[in-house]
Amino acid sequence: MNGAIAPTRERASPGRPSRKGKWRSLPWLAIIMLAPVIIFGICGPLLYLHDPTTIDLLNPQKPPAWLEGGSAAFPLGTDQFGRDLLSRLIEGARVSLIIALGGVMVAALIGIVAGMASGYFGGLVDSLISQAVDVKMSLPAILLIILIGAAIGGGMTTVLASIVLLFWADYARVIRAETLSLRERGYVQLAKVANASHIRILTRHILPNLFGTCIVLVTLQVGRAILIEASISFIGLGIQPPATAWGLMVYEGRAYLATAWWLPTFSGLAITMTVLGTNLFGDWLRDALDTRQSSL
Amino acid sequence: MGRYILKRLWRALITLIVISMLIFVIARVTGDPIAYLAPEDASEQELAQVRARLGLDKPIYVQYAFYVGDALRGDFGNSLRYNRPAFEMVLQRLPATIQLSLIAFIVSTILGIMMGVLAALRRDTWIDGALRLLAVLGQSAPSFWIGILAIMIFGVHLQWLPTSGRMGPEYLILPSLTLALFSMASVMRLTRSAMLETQTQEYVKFLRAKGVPESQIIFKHMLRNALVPVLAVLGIQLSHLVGGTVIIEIVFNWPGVGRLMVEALLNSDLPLIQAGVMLIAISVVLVNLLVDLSYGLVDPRIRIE
Amino acid sequence: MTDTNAQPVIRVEDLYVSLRRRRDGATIRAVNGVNFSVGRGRTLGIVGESGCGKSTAAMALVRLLPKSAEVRGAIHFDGRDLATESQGALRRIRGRKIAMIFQDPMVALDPLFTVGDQLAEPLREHLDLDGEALHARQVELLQAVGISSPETRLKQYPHQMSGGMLQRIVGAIAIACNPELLIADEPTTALDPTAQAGYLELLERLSETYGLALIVVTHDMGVVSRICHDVMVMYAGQTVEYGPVRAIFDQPRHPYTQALLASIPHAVEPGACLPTIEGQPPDLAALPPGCPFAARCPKVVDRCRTEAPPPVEFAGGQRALCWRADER
Ligand SMILES: Nc1ncnc2c1ncn2[C@@H]1O[C@H](COP(=O)(O)OP(=O)(O)OP(=O)(O)O)[C@@H](O)[C@H]1O
Ligand SMILES: [Mg+2]
Repeated sequence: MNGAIAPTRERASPGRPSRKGKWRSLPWLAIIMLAPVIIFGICGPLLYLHDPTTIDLLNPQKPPAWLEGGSAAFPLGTDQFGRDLLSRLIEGARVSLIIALGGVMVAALIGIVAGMASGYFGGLVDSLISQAVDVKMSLPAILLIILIGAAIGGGMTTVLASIVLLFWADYARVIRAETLSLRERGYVQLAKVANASHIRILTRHILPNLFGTCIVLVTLQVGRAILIEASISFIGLGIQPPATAWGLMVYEGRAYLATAWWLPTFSGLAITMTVLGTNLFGDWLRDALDTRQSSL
Repeated sequence: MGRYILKRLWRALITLIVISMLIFVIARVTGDPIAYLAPEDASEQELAQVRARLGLDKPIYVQYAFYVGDALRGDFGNSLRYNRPAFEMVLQRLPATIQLSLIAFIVSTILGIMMGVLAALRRDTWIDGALRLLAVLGQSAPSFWIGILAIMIFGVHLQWLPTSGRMGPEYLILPSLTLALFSMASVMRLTRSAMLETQTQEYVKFLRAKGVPESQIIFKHMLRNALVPVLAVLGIQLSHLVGGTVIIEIVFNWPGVGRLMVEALLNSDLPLIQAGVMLIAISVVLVNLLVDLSYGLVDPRIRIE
Repeated sequence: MTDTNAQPVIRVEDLYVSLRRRRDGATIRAVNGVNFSVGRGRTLGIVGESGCGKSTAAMALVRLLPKSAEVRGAIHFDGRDLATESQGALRRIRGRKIAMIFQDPMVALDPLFTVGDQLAEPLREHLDLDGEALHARQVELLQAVGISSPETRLKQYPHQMSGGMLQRIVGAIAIACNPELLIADEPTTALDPTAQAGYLELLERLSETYGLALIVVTHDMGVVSRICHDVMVMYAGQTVEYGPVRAIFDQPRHPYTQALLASIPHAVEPGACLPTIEGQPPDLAALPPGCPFAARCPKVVDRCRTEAPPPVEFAGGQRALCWRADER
């Protein structure tokens, strides 16, 4: 006899969370941290108390409102030129968000195309792209940033170019792996047998399945992009005054840390909060969408 | 093992070739190099002579070959600003940078692993929660901001530690700890999840069934297995660290290559930038290679094919 | 009982285990009254559906359970009650007097250490062997499980060995300290048919040569009929039927055992789908009153749903937990 008792039941399957549980499982901490940034980013100019670039030499280095010498007109105080810190932070939110989102989107576009091509076609395309990814991974980001800076000088373009150049490879690597496994799925094989064109297979059968992974990656990358933007601005290659961005504000505030501690402190806090928010949100999204990329 | 080493060597070589090509191309696109080598009132003919002397009339790949030849001899030209050999200037600053990043590397690896193990062993307790929060924070706060806060607190307020320059060992403390923070957070998160992963492995169950003491299971078997994925990313951590050094050197006025390069950037001092980028790339690639080889030592599946 | 003539190696009475489910903190009553004994040189098979608590019961014997687990009942072994021993004392029993092996020999060894190192661990730990004596014992063990050129094998890593070789290594580690009891949790489930046959043969031979008491947890009735003397059928954490393999195969008394045996096709085609028993086992976090099998039982009467059935003994040591066990 060689019979076997066939298992009649899956291992205790986790029940669907109730609706209440669903609400509770939202990443509230992340949402609370990100909400102001997003609101300021979208309708920043409507919320200024003061114009962020107006110099007010009568009120330089005013401390935050709750400290002695502060005034309610400048809730977070003013900088060395009497500019309202809160208004400048709001302006900085807009700049930082636009740059981070824009850069990450372009990088995603390039990386997804490269990753899909690499995973789907294989061969020479694959080895070239994989080689490029490898090289990028083994070089410190700062070297690429310095080279870009040397080629085109400082400014918005440098920041965008750096983000794109630094981030495309992450998408390419992850998307390549996913495409490789998707390619072997039944429906893709079927489409091939049915003589569907490569483009059709890639856009109809493979791309939609990459959605979750891409969303998670983009979220996590936005946080990193904000950090990169801040670092580039901090070494003077990023946004140039009189325009502003959070990294630049920390850099400028650094000179006054003995006399006006709030300048670098609040700008850095804004960066930290935003990046922390996107990181937490991305982690949550990864678990919620159950993508396999635990190493992102 | 032989194949593995060859593959790693090949990748190191390709990386260096690509970076040298990038440097070369950027040097060419940023303007005619003879613009600053020839006298301003030079005639067309004189300019042509200078070009010929420098090999700039040759095809681009010949120029690249010359360039690589020069670079291999350590000749990147003179710094435009200081009028001294760029390579020498960078070399002089290199020890300071290596010192800073190496200490940060060691600190972040050791502390990161220890914290990761602790978090995994105390899973779901307040210790785990606190360590994880610290890790997320470490990965979210910009290092220059942490550095500035550290200066404000430990330098300006408490006056415990020096915050600027490189005079004695105490000058290393704040910069290296600040620099280590980000890597430490990554190493910790990775170690924690790798330890949790090994906990569910069949061989751990078998070890318990053999009656091996728990401490031996954790520190001999689980830790070593958890270190395999950690080691795999140490190379990338190192790249992060070197990148971070540039920023930290500016925050703490550390006289290393990073600060030199950023100054050179602001002065458009191209030879200095080229020499700096190339030397840092070489150091990173070499250390990466070492990390890859040590990976083979830990994991017999790579060592013995 | 089947082994009344000899003092059993292990005797388990009214074993209960409850676990805490991580997800929602619910208490899972994984084992709810298990009774059996195994004598020297005898083999007990434990069968039952997936999730009925076989592994939990087996692990409970040496108390290798999550920290949240609670064990009640008595586990008589070597003149002590393992249910009340300290973890430290149990650690000295595990691998020394009670050895265990699990599903897949391919993943039973740490990939980063040599086979010799992992074979040495229990010898060092329990027998204090060292140097020459240790080495001699290692070689002797590998020879005992039929591995040629043991000297080279000792220095190799698991990934350098075939599946069959690893089976033997695991067997060698299990018998390293001359245990009295060997517990094998689904030793053949992960293996292909040829490997299964080889592994069973090895286990049988070790049990015979060293007079081991052997407990085999399995899904496979073929394994039971092939190497077991006694069999214990578990349902929802209970011993619902227990006794000599022959008696139970000839005349199963519990409706669940009957359904199990009926579901086994006489000629099994490779890869053929096996019939299953209608319905779902009860939720171990919320056991119904009465007999847990009532909801699926073809012979159910009203009483089954309210009162837990008593054990009914039969000639030859067969025992079933059912109100209607002595009906024909
Ligand atoms: N660590 C644990 N925590 C909570 N519940 C557990 C744990 N381990 C097992 N269980 C539950 O205890 C019950 C018995 O599990 P066990 O693994 O003993 O079953 P089994 O009969 O060995 O099943 P299989 O044949 O699938 O191996 C199951 O319902 C399972 O979900
Ligand atoms: Mg089991």
